[in-house]
Amino acid sequence: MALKMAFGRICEKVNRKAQIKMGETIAIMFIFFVLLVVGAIFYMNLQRATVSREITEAYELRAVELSQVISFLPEAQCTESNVVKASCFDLYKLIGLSKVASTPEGINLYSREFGTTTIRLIKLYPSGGEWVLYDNRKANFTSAPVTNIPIMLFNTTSDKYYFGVLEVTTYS
Amino acid sequence: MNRNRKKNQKAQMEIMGLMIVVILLIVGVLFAVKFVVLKKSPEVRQTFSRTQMASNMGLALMSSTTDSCRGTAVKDLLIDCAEWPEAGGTITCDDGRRSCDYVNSTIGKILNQTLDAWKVRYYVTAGTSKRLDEQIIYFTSAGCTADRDQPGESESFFLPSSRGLLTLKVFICE
Repeated sequence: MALKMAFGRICEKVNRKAQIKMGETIAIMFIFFVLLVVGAIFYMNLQRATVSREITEAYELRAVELSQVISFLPEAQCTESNVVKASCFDLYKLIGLSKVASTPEGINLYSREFGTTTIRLIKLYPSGGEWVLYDNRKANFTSAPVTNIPIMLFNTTSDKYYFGVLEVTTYS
Repeated sequence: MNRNRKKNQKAQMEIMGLMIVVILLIVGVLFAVKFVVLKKSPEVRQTFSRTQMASNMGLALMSSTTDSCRGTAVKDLLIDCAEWPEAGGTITCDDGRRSCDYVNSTIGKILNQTLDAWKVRYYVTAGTSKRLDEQIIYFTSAGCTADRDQPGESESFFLPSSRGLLTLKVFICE
């Protein structure tokens, strides 16, 4: 009888020890998974920041590309005696383009080159004048970063050059 | 005695285990920081954008016709100012200012409305000499100065003058 009782006590002790060990293991596993989740969240946030930075850069590049496209359009180029002037935009041609490109037919025609963007022309110096060259907004866009490109505008009637800005809004 | 020593050894082993886990975590975080945070973004695109910005800015600035200075271009005022810096230039504008004064305020106004407004860090210099204190035009923004080497892209434009080659430099900092 005494032997049976002693055996029972030993068994109880061993069981309690095993329970403590199990609890310890579970606690370690819990902490490990918490750390894993924290690490994953941290990594995902960093990745998100990197991706958004890359997207912004891509938009900037797209805006520069667009300005290059516009500068090579005969509808915008400056010419003198049929010779094209580099990096120069004809103000009156651009104003004419703004009247055409913003119509449904114009959007249809220029959407291949410009895509879903809004291109505004701002005459900064001497001040005065803003024209929307092209406006094809994307429905339900999530972001619309704006990129500004300084340009040279030529007024053919007064033979003067103005300082202008091409404001390109790219929708995504 | 023996049981205590065993217990101590076990505790030491557990601490060692924890230490290994912590070291592994630190190594993991360091790797993440190295490859994600300190990862250099594609330089070509940024460089291209900055070069385009500097080039377009310089070209548009130089060619602009002034609104109240006898219809002269900014580059002509710059040349006049570089040729007669002691007198502040020989061209007198409609408001009575000389070319150096006028061109400084005009360029300042344009830069304020553009690069400053777009929060682009830059410096613009113009002069026949390389010395900073001899520049006829010197504009800077937020820590981007010409007195020390900076990472970024620049575009230089050269204009002939009787005092030598006038260099207009537009530098866009990273």
